[in-house]
Amino acid sequence: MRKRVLALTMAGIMAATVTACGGGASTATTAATTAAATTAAAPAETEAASEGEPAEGEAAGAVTADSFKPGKDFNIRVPFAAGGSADTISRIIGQGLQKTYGNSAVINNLTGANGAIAAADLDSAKSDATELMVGGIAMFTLAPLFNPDINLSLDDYQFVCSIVSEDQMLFVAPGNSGIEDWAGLQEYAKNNRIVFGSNTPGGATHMLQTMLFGEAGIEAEAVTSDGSAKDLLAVAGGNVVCAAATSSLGAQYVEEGTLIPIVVFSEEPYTGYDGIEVPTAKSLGYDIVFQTCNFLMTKKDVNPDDVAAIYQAILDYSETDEFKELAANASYIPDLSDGETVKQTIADAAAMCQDAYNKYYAK
Amino acid sequence: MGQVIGEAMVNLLTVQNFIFVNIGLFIGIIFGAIPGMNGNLAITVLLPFTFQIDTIPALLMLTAIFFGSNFGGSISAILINTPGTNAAAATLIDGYPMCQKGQPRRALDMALVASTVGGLISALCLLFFAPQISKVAITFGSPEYFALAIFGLSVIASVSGKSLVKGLISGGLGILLASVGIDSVSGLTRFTFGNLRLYNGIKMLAVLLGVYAIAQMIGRINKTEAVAVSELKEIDKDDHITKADVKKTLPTMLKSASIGAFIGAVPGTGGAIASFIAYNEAKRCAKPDEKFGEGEIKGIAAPESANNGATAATLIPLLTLGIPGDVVAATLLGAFTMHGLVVGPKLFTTSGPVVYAVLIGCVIAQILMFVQGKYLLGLFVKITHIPQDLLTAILVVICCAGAFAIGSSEMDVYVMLAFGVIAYFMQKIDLPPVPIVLGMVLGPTAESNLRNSLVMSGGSWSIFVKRPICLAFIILTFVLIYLLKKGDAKQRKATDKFMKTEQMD
Amino acid sequence: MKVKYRSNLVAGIVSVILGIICMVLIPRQIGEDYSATYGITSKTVPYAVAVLWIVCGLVLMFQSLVLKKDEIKSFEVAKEVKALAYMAVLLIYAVLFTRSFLASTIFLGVATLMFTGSRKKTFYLIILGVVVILYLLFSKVLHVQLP
Repeated sequence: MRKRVLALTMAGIMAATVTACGGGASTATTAATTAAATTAAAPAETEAASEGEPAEGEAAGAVTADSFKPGKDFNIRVPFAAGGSADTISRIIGQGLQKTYGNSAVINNLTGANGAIAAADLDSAKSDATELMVGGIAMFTLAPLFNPDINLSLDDYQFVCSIVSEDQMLFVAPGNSGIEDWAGLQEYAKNNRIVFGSNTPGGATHMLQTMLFGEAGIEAEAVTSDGSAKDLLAVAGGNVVCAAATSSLGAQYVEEGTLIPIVVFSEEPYTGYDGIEVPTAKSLGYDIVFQTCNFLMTKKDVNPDDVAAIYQAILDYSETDEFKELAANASYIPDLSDGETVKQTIADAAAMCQDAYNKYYAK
Repeated sequence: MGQVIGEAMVNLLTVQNFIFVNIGLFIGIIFGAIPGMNGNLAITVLLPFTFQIDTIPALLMLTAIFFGSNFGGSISAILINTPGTNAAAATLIDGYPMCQKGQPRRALDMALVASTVGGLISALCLLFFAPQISKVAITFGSPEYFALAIFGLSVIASVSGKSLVKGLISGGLGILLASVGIDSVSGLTRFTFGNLRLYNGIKMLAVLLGVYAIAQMIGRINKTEAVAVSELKEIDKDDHITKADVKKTLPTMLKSASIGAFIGAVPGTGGAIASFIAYNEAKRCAKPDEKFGEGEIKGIAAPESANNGATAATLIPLLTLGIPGDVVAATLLGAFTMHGLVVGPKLFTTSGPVVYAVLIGCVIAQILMFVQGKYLLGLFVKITHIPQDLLTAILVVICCAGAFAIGSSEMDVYVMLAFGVIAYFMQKIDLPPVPIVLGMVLGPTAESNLRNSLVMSGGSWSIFVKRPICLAFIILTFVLIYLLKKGDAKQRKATDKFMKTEQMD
Repeated sequence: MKVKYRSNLVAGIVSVILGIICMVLIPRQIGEDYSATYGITSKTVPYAVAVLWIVCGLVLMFQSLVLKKDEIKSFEVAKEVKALAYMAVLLIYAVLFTRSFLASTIFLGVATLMFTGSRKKTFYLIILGVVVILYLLFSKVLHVQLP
């Protein structure tokens, strides 16, 4: 009961403040009324502080977040299982859209076929900026190569922005194998079988390691699992020699000292871990660059101005304290590049994957 | 550690937490009890709301939903022969027959007591030994998982009913169903017939709903299915659990809880494997007058205790390694992350007070679940009073909505309906349904780990006997199968003798 | 009219047939592996199940015909026709489901009541209410987009 009164009071104060500020009043008051109307646990407490900024006060950009007026709730299709890091990050973004526009952002987990199922659902929806989908880079690069039933094309979609992009790196457990760097692994390979942990053929970590060992002339085989967390566990437990995973997944093991990264598949060396600089595959002589990238996309024929407005809304939200706190909790380092950049990144990666497929997988 | 626990207790023992744990338990039990809805749905829906409240009450509530839904699944298993979760499939083997004999309340109470015992033991293990246990769990590799899966599959021998051969056929069906979709080792598609929607495979819950709920509906339609309690027998006057019952089942419960705690602590396993293995073990040790499969009370105590024990223990690899044992645990993991608990070996050092508050909360939640359960069961039992025809129609409708809700896909509804029809015919030729569950749960684990083990060893099968834990499981499997068959023969002899003495009196 | 059949024999025959169908389907549905397999390919376990079915089926047939170990079961043609009719209802439901959850499920609920021979009007109203409540619960509260 007290919570309900508190929520209403805060909502009332919020509404008053925002009306006083002038701009963006309508969407913010909708937020206030819907908030008070839902349950006692309304989003009142943390909001009063940050609610003031997002709706107005942008820089000189031609498009502002509130130039888009959503006619209904946002429907964000997420082709990842609920609870995983990709799903968590998508929910944070959804939260941002919900805060800015007041309409609910419903997260719809539609897993399957590397995102093709979620894409099919998006295709059957109306062309509106509220119909969105979070995609992974594998959708357009790896999936079509390995599964003839999947025909996803970059040109059928419009990209709002990227959400997160992470470096993939190779981890080893010096305590188990004695390997401390790439040279050490090459040495180890002379007398030992290299067994690496990865996802299945058709997955990113499998491809990266196949390419790396292929180009280095090292014979290696994969022990597969359904998640990089399990692969890292296998390295730590001594069941495989190495595994590829994103920087965030490896963080806790690196901190503990159980695992060390020896190669990173990106353009620049990785310095995110304290006291360690991870060399790039390129610097070791292997031109392999691949970032796991998740991005927000919508149908091709949606009004580009609406798309730009949503992008701006996300950018604004990323400046707020609430976002920073949520992101820190989820170990999420955002990468909010614009749609064109995303499209280019995907196209480049697709070309590399096609080469790798022809070389190592095609029969 | 004492200081951390002290701090945790201070954070934990507040009215707010008390309320949220109870809300979570309540929601979990209701969601678990309704066929087609499960804890996953509840956690996913409530997750956004939890951001508006503090971390500890939020996590306590979500964890409580997790426990509650596991228990709730047993309620529908016992009352309407439809498991709400995979693990509940073991409970219904003896739970439903006891209900049919006019003792639904006794069965439900036994399930509640067993769950509480299992959960308490497991939660206490969790509290004191979590970091140590996870160190052992890390060593589990593909060969160990394979051996564990084979051990679990051997349970088919004891749940096949009269014909082991027919049990094997059902088990094979389960394994085949689980292979539909993208193969987890090679990435190839299997049995998808070009249909994208089958890429992710066939959902176990859809099959369960079809095999148990829909098949029964069809049976009830033409009245070939045995009628339910309300028309069968007056509810037994003695329909409540007795002290003697508890005393008799206590050793079983303790043993099953340990089995559950051990299996749950292994990363990636859940309550289903534990409950079947515990059931198997209890049956193996059965005395002549204990007729498993016909409403034997130990047949309820064992799987329930193991199931809830495994549920608590599954939090260990979840918190220390970030590896969930089932879908619901995976969602819980996401919730923990979003509330700032960075799972991993450092969890206990970085967020000690919060984690311990949640763990102690788990212990307390077991007791609260017992209390809530007592009241709720009284309500649930009234379901048996609903007229058959109405109940059938309502359940069909709920199952259809629930099947769709699994993955927002109509494919699951089709699967459910198809298997309803298939299971109906299977029943006509006495093919038992329980091995399908075992096959679907354990088949993929066995297959993928077998193949990965061979990659690890470079093709040598000796890897399975060179690793101690793996070897132990394999030996255990053979020993248990031998003992089971010997026990069966002995039991038959003893039962005959027992029957003869009964007749003579 | 009662039809008698022998449980083990029928189960055996069905099992053998399914096993053969499975063996035929496997090469069409499962491709060739990309990497080293050490004898156990993606097709191995499905083949194993198919073989298991054929062997088990033959054992059952053997038990029934040679060992004379069988159970005679029977079914009423009239009752089974009713069951088949209900299965047809389920099929229709499956087809209509994607058009509209509300309409198709109400149809299913009503049909089920009719099949169980229910006469009470209140039951029909109750089932109508239940479907509507379910629809609202799932789509509004649980955010599951029912068709």
